Order: sequence, then C-alpha cells, then structure tokens
Amino acid sequence: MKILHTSDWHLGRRPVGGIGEYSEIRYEDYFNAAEYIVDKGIEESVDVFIIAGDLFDRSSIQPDILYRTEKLLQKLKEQNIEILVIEGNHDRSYRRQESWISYLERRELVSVPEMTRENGEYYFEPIVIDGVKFFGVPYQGLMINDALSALATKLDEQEDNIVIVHTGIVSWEQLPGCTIEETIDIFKNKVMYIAGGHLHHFQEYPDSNNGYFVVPGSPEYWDLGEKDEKGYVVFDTESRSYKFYPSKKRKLSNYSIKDSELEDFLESVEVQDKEIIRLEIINNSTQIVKTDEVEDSLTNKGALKIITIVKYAGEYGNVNLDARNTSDIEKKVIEEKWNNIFSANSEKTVSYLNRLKSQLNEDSQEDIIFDHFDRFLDHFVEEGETNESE
Amino acid sequence: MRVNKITLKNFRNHADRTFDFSSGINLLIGRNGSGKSSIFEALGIALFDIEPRDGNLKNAVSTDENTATIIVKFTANDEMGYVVERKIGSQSRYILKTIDGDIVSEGGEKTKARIGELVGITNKNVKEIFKNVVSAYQNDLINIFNLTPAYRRNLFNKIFDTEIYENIFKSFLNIEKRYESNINTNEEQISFFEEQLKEYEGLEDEKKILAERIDKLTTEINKKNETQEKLNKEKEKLQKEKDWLSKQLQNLEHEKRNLNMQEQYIEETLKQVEEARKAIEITKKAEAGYKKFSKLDKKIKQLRENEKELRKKMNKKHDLEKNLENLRNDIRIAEGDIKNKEEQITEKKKKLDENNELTEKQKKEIRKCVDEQKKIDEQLEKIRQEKLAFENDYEDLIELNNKLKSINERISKEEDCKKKLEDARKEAEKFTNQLQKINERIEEKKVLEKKQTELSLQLDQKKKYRDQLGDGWCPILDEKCINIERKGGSSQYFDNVIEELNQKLEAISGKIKELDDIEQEKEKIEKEIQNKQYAIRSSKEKLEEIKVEKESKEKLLKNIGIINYKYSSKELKTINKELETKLNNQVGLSSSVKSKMENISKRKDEVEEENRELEKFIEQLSQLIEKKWDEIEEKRDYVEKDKKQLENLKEIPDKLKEIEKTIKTEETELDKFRKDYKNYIQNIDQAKKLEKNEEALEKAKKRALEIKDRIEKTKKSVSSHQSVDVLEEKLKELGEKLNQINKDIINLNAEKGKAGSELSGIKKQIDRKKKMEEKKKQAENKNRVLNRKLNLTKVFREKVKSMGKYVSQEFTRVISQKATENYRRISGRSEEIKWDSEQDYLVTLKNEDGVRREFSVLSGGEQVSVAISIRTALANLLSKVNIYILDEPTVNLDDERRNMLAENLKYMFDKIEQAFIVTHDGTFQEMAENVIDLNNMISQSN
Repeated sequence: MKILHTSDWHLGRRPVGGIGEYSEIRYEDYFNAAEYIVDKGIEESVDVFIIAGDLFDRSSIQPDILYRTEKLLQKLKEQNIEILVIEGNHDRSYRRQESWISYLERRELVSVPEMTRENGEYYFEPIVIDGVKFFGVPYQGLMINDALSALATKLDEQEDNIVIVHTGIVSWEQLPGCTIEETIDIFKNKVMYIAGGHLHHFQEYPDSNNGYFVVPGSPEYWDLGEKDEKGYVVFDTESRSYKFYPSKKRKLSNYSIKDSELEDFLESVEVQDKEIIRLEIINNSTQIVKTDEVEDSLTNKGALKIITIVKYAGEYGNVNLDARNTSDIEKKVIEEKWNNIFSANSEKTVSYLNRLKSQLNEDSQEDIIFDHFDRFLDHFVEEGETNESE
Repeated sequence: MRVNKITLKNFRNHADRTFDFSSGINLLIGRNGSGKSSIFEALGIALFDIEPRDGNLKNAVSTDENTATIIVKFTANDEMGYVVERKIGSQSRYILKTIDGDIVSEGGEKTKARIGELVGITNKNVKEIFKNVVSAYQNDLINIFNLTPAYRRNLFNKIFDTEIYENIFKSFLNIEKRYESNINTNEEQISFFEEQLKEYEGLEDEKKILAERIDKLTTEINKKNETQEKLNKEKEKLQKEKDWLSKQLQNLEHEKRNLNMQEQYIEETLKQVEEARKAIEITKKAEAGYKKFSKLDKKIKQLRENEKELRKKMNKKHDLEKNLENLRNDIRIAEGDIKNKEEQITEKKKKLDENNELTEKQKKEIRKCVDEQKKIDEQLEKIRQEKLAFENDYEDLIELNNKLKSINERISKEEDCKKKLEDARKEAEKFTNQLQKINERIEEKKVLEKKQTELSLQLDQKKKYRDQLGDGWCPILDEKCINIERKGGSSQYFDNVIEELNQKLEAISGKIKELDDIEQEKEKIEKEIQNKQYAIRSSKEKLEEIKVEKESKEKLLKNIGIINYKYSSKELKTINKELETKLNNQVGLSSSVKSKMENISKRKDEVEEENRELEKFIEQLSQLIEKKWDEIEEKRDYVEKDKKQLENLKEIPDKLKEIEKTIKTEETELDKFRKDYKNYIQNIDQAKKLEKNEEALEKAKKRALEIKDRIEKTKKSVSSHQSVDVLEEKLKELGEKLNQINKDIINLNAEKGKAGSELSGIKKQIDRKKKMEEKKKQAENKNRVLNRKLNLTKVFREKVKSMGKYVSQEFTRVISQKATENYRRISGRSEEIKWDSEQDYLVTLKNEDGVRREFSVLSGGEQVSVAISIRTALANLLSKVNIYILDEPTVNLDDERRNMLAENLKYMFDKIEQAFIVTHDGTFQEMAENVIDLNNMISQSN
C-alpha cells in the first residue's frame, strides 16, 4: 500500500494586515501548493492520503475556502484514494457541530480516526485499511505526551500500526504542542510509521536511515521567517520506507545587508517576478534607515512583497538578537565563554541544565540528579573514545 | 496566555464575583478599597502559588468565612482552554482542569508545575518575574531602575535567577565525590584481577607439549589400523573359500540320499501295477449282478417314502376326533351357566322396584321441612336487625357523654390563658427597648474600627516615607526637601508624626476593647425577644382553640337529646332482655326442624345407595351372559370345521396296509444280488489306477539317471581344492594376529584420550584467563571513562560557578540592544540605552557624541520612555506569559511622566496578547478594549 503524507496546508490563510493584490496572491498560493500535492498523489497512484492537521488556517472558514477544499478532496476521491484527516491547532473545534473537519467526514470526503478523553482515560478508534490500523491524535497542546504515552501502551506489536498526530519533536526548548524524543522512542517496534505535523519544516526521527517519525512541513510559508525544507512524504508499507519530495511554493529570498552596503545591494540584486524578499539591515550608523525607499526600489524590480528588519548593532557589536529566552542566553554563554567540549554541544548542555534546574527546584534526590548527569556525560565520553581510537 | 475569567468567592472583600476579560487592554476602574488589586493577587495565587501581600494565605479568606475560592479560566500558550480552581482556608484544594472539566492534575506541586508549563514560566524565580516583570505596582514601573545599587543588584539577580548556578556549583561537589569514590572502587577491582592473573602463567607451554604428544600417538594408531585392515581382507578371502567347499560337500550328501529314495519308489510302483491288473479281472465278472441290485434298491426307497406319508395322515385323523369330543363338552357346560345367571337377575329387579317406591315418599317429607325452615329464618333476621340498631345507639350515647366531659374541662382553662398572654406582652416590650440601645453602641464601634484602619495605613505610609527619605532627598522632586530640613531633618519629623499617630491609635484601640462583648450581648437579647414572641403566639393560639370547643359542645348536647327521645318509654336494659328472649326462641325452633330433616335425608341416601348397588350387579350379570353366548358360537364353528377334515381322511388305513405288503416282496428279491454288488464295489477303484501307475514308473527311472550324473560332476570339482582342515588351521593363525593388533590400538587410544582431556583442562584455564583479562580491560576502560567524567564534572562545575555572572551580563546586553530598538521607535531619537549587570544594573543613555547620562538625571519623560523600552524587552525575554498587569501606574507621577506614560503604553503592549491596567481614574479609558467598573460592577466592551 502506498501512502502520501502531507500536513499544515493552512487553507484560507491571508497575511497579517495584508490587503489588496498581495493578500489575494498569497491566498491563492496555499491552494496552489495543496493542489500540486494532490496531483502528485494521483500521479503516484497512492492508496491513502494523510493530512496530519491544520488543513484550514482557522476553525471558522469562508464559503469560498470550503468550496475549493471540497473540490481538491473530490479530485482524490474520484481516484478511489482514501483520505485520512485529523484536527490541528488551527482548525480544532470544541464542539463537533462547529467542526469543519467533521463536516467533511459527514460529506464522506474524508475519514477521521477518533480519539476521546474521559476521566483522564484515553480511548482510540482506529480506521483499518488493508489490515493496517490508522490511529489519530488531534492537537493536544501540552497534554501531547500524556496522550501519546497512553496510545503507545494500547498498541499491539504484532499488528501493522500507523499513527497520525499533529505534533513534532522539539528537544531543547519549549514549543507548545510539541513532543519530545523520549515519547516517540516508546513507539519503536510498535508502529510502521508516525505521520506528524504542526512543525512547518521537514523532520525525521531518529535519523534518515531508521526514521519512523516524520513531519513533512507546511507546503507554503505560513510565516515568512520560516527556514528549512518543506514538502510531502510517500510511505510504502511493503518496503516500509519513505521518501521526501519538496513542495511547490512561492520564491522567498533572505538577505542580511549592512546599511553601508545597502545602495550597492539595491543596484545589483536580481529579482524574480513576484518573489518575496526578506531583508535584514544592520544599522551601524546613528542615522535612521529609510525603509520606504528600500521597499519601493525592490518593488520596481518586480518583487511582490518586501519585509525589512532593521537591527542596531550598537556599542556591543552585533549580539545575538534572536535570543528569546534564558535558554538562548545560556546557549550563547556556553558557546562563547566555556571554550570546552560542552561548547560544541551547547543545545544538549542547555537542555540538561534546564532539567537540572527543575530537579533542584523540586528538591530531587541526589541519586536521581547523579544518574541524569552521568547519562548526560556519557555523550561526551563516547565522543572522547572515538577520538582516542582515531 | 490569555486570562478569560476570574471568579472570586469569599476572597478578601469579594463575596462572590466574576470578572470577564478580553484580549487586548482591560481597564479596571475602582475606588480605593474596592478590591481591584486583590483580583490580581488572586491570579498570582491561583496560577503561580505566589504568596499574598501579607504573606499569610489564611488572611485572604473573608472574615466570618472558612474557605475562599479562586477560579481562573485561561487560554494557555498551547491555545487550549484550561480552568484552575484553588481553595484556601480550612478546605484547601488546588486543581487544574481542561475546559471540558476533565481533571489534568490535582494537588499543589503537580498543579503548579503543569500550569508553569502551560503559561511558560518554569523557573524558581517565578515570584520575582510575576511581581516585577509581568506586573508593576504604582510607580515601580519606572522606579525599579532608580533603586540604590545594592537594591538593584539584589532584585535583578533574583529576576535572572543567577543564584541557581551557585546552587549547582555547591551541590555538584557531591557528584565529584561520587565519581572519585567510584574510581577508587574500580581501581581496587583492577588490582584484584592482576593478582588473579599471575596464577595462570605458563599454561601455553604445557599446551604445546601435550599437543605434540597427541600428534605422535595419532600417527602410530594410524599405522596399526592399516595393518589391521590388510589382515582382515586376507581373513575374509580364506573364509570365503572354506565356506564354498563345505557347501559343495553338503550338496553331494544330499544328492546321494535323493538317489536312494528314487530307487525305492520305483520298486513300490511296480507292485501297484500288478494289483491293478488282478482287480480288472474281478469287476468284469460281477458287473451284471451289480446293476440289478442298484435298480431294486432305488424302488424300495421310493415305497418307504410313501409309507411314511400315510402314517403322518393317520396321526392327524386321531387328533381331530379327540378335539371334537372336547368342544361338545364345553358347549354343554356354558349353556347351564347362562340359565343360572338369568334367574338371579329376575330376583334383583324385584327388590329394586320396592326401593324406588320408598324414596318417592321420603322426598315429599323433605320438601315440607324446607318450607317450614324458611319461615323461621325470616323471623330470626328481623329480630337481629332490631337488636343491632339498639346496640349502636347505646354506644353512641356513652361516647357523646365522655366527649362532653372533656370539653367542659378544657373550657374551664380560658381565664388562665388570658393572663399568660398579657404577661408575655409586657416583657417583650422591655427587651426591645434594650436592643435599640445596644445597636447604637455597635454603630459607634464600627466608626472606631474604621478610624483605626485609617490610622494604621497612615502610620505604615509614614514609616515608609521615613525609610525612603532617610537622607532627606525627595524622590519626587529629585532634590533635598526643604520642608523636612526645616522640621529638623526627616527622621525627626517623621518620628514625631508617627508618635502622635501611635497615641491616637492606642486611644481608639482602648475604646474598641471596651466594646468587645457588645455583639454577644446583642445576640442574647435577640434570643430573649424571640422567646417572648413565641409565648405570645402560643397563648393566642390556645384561646382560639377554646372558642372552637364551645361551639362543638352545643352540637353534642343536641345529639344526646335525640337518642334519649327515641327510647323514651322504657328502661334501656329491659329492651335488650326482651330482644334476646325472642331471638333464643326462634333459634330453638329452627334447630329442631333442621334435625328432623337431616334424619329423613340420611335414610333416603341409604336406600338410594342400595339401588345403585343392585343396578350395578344386574348390569354385570347381563354382560357375563352375553360373553358366554359368544364363546358357544365360536366353538360351534370349530366343530363344523373338524367334521369336514375327518371326511377327507376316511380311506387312509386301507392304503397303509397295501403298501407294507409290497415292500416285503421287493426286499426278498434284493437279497439275491447282494454278493455281486459287494465284489464290484471293492475292486473298481484299483482297476482304474493301472494306466496312471505305468506312467509314474517311467518318469522315476529317468530322474534316477540324472542324479547319478550330477554326483559324478561334484566329486570331480571338490577334488581340485585344498582340504577344509588346512583352511581352518590358516584362519586360526590370522585370528590370533588380529587380536594382538586390536589390543595395541585400544591401548594407544586410551593414552591419546588421557592426553586430550589434559589438554582441554588447560584450554579451559586459558579461557578463564582470557575472560579475566577481558574483565580487567573493561574495568580499565570504565576507569578511563570515570576519570574523564570526573574531569568533565570539575570543568562543568567550575564553568557553572561563573555562569550567573555571564548570564546576567548577556541578559543586560541583549536587553540593552532590544531596549535601544524600542527606544528609538518610541522617541524617534537616536540615543542608545546601556544597561549593564557589571555596573550593578545601572541604566544610562548615550547620545551620538558618546555622552552618557545616568537614569536618575534623565528628565521625567525620558525616564518613562527608557523604562518602558527596557521593560518591554525584559518581558519578551523572561516571560512567555504574554500578559502585563499595571497596578495604579499613574499614582505619584508628575504630569509630564503621566502624559508620557499614557502616550507610550501602546508600544509596551505592542506584542502583548493581554494587558490589565488597574486604576482609580479614567486616564486610559480611551485605549481599553474592555472596561470593568468595580464601583458599580458593570463590565462593558469598547
């Protein structure tokens, strides 16, 4: 059986505060990116089409969005392709009557593998296709690890299981609704494949050779700050292997230019018709950058939209302006001040430091603290040994 | 996160209130004491377990109540809805639920941790962050940057939680020690392995010597095996030759025996041929007599068959005759029986007729008795009714008289009741007057308490001012305060004022104390009044009841009169006696008629029973007669049948005599040919065998010649070989040689086996040695790992120790950058904000020419802009809560600062999902999305 796995279409999205041509073009972009994947699914003659959450950008939608979505799904249905969908954080509804996903299910365009929670207990109702059981876990927020752990204990190793879940793995910082590696580890040998979502870039876990947890990423840029690959995945139940294919999306160029070099840049840069440009200007002078002029100049060259970000370098030089929290700060200190093996593994070290802090706050036993620290150090010792043998 | 709703029950001065919030700016307007600040105090308690203002949770419970409840509905950072419910006081409870009511966690620590995760604050410094970053109280918004260096260092180090790194450094000393002790244990193990390994030396040499010896033995065994094989082949060849020879000799003996047997057979066959020829001669002579005998014999056999048949028929004839006689006898007996039974029936029928006549008579008598009885019963029922009516009236009269008596008793108490009512009324009036006086005194106490609270607040404020203005510097005007100086320095001035306030407070407290018991007294009197009012009510009710009783007495008297009139002429007891006599008479009559009737019925039943018996008997007899007639009829049929058969058998006896005679004649004729018949039978078989015997004789002669030929050939081939004895001698010799070689091989193998087991023993020991070496190697590896971990721990510890310094430095650097961006955006000016942890968190503003001005010397407007710029950056970096609470931000601000703040707050809230401004005036009303007026609790949305 061949399965196409995609996620986070965000149909109906319009850019924040966007009006006019830009807003209209971007609105179309999301449908175009989705249709490209639908066509690929038909071309590859897949049997099942999974959309792992955030099909719509909002839980309440306009008639035009619904009409176009139904048309897309109808195209797959005509080829007898089974469509499995779960709710993401964007199209989640509190009541069944208000859910557009539920509407699509009642129209018999899609199937939704159900999950319910009652008195702290989780109940799952898989959809069985060709002997393969498809389980669904819609967006759970911070309860995601509870829900997934409950599901893992209910899975039978002897059966062919596939889990569809609106989450991705974030290891060293907190992002709401994301899971952790330890939770996905429990599913090893219990599933053929976990179809993830929520993250807007491609992710595979544990690695490209043994991956069984995959997030394909959103086909289009939801936010213009997004980086890394985006696409869809085709999984084959016979060979138990998957392949990633990039999606078709609008061109986005990122530039970081010092204010002194801005003039040269504007003159020399080549602009594709209707592309989006994200321009970061580092201001070393005391003069204020005239962003309006910059934007006009690029628009004249054919750009659809220009986003300018001005940063002031100041007396400290260009410090890490992306720092968003204590962990970011700690990461920078470990990288720049420690100058030892921990610096090269700053993310792991910060992640450990976070855990250690909460252990100290909770007055954990010394044995537990030692145990965790020892395991944390294992990482460096193994590395050290391979160095020795070399 | 977004706070959607807060419900407070019995929390401070909120009895039961719910506040709905929207995203964007929520403005809470209320007078002092309207409970504005306690809403956010409750939010802190419910979400972050932050202790209340006065440090004691129990004090937050409204006076006179046991438990306060805080319910917060919020949308967490994961965009899901949650409800946290916290109860404090005598019933405590801390619970987090989903919006659907499903419980996520229960109990303090767990719930706290879960909420921390949900709203994005997980540090231990949550309290500092909530108090100083998420919310700001009055002019703290600006003033935290204006504190003394020591205060600043203390506050921001707490906010950045630099202490945690020191803690890690301290607690990791034990981890270092653990690694050291693990290394020691491991080293001991390694030296133990080294000691053990010494014992395994020299094993390889021993192994080599043994292996060589085994090789030598193997070669020798192989040689012996080859010789053994050669000899075995030779032995096999000889044995084969010997076996062949023995077989040939055996064959020869066998053929000789065969020849003998063949010759004997030929002799016997010759004799048989001779006998056969003699037998042929005899049969020829007897043949004619034999044929006649056979014919006669057949005829006689047929005749005997016929005779047998006739005898059977004769027997049958005798049986039939006997049967016929028996049947005729039976018929005669049955006919006599029938006649007898018919006579009995006639007799019984006569008796039956007599009885029927008697029964008719008895029935008439009974009908007469029934009529009589009916009349008596009617009379009896009439008298009974009469008596019952009388008894009812009699009972009613007695009851009515009793009621009358008790009513009279109750009516007599009327006067007593009236007096009680009057007394109770008088006393109630007395207590009501007392209550009024006490109420006046309670009012007085309340006034005193209010005054006491006001004075305490004043006192606290003054004490605060005394501390703040200790150096005589006015924070508001930012200059030496002339007023204070004139009054002899600030502390002197404030000490005086405080002393004065203290005295006033003491005086009021004294007065309040005097009035301490007044509430109890009030309660006592209220209870008395209640008692008296109850007495009045009950007396009134009783009088009302007596009035009703009087009315019912009238009715009773009337009813008694009616009954007395009905039986006026006679004494009641006499009436009763008359009625009873009448009743008894009628009962006597009724029972005598009844017994007479019963007697007649009994006799009638007896006769009827007898009749039934008779009828039954007659019926039975008739049936028997019927049956007998059937039997006779059947037997008569049989008689007819038998007669017919006898007719057919009439001629049999004559036929039998005739056939016996014929048989005798034929038998005499038969005896004449018996001898010839015998001779023929005896010899005919022998005669037939002649031809066969002659053929067999020829064949036997031919076979004997063949055998003789074979014997000759075998004798020739045997004579060309060695004799069997010589061969046996040779075989014996070879056997002895083989035995010797076998013994040698067994001995050699035993020797080899012994050497082999010795070798495997040594190999095992070598394995053990290798394992131990492996273990030693593992332990050494482990030691390397442990040593490396120990070094890493030391490095980690050392680096973490200085982490706090670097982290706070980095924080202030990043915040300075972001604050500068914010400041330029807010002010449109190009100055740069510099904030440095290394300079005790001093804030300076640097202009284009590099001139720096400290925060304290900036103009009021500049201070506001800089403070908001830094605070915005600080909130972004430290809190994922994404809400902001400003509590009275304009209090104590001069106009310039106030205007600047109002203008710039929108920048501060730019990226914030939800903000709360608590204020007593309407300054920010135009920018708020949601206004909650606590003065009249009407919430409205803009």
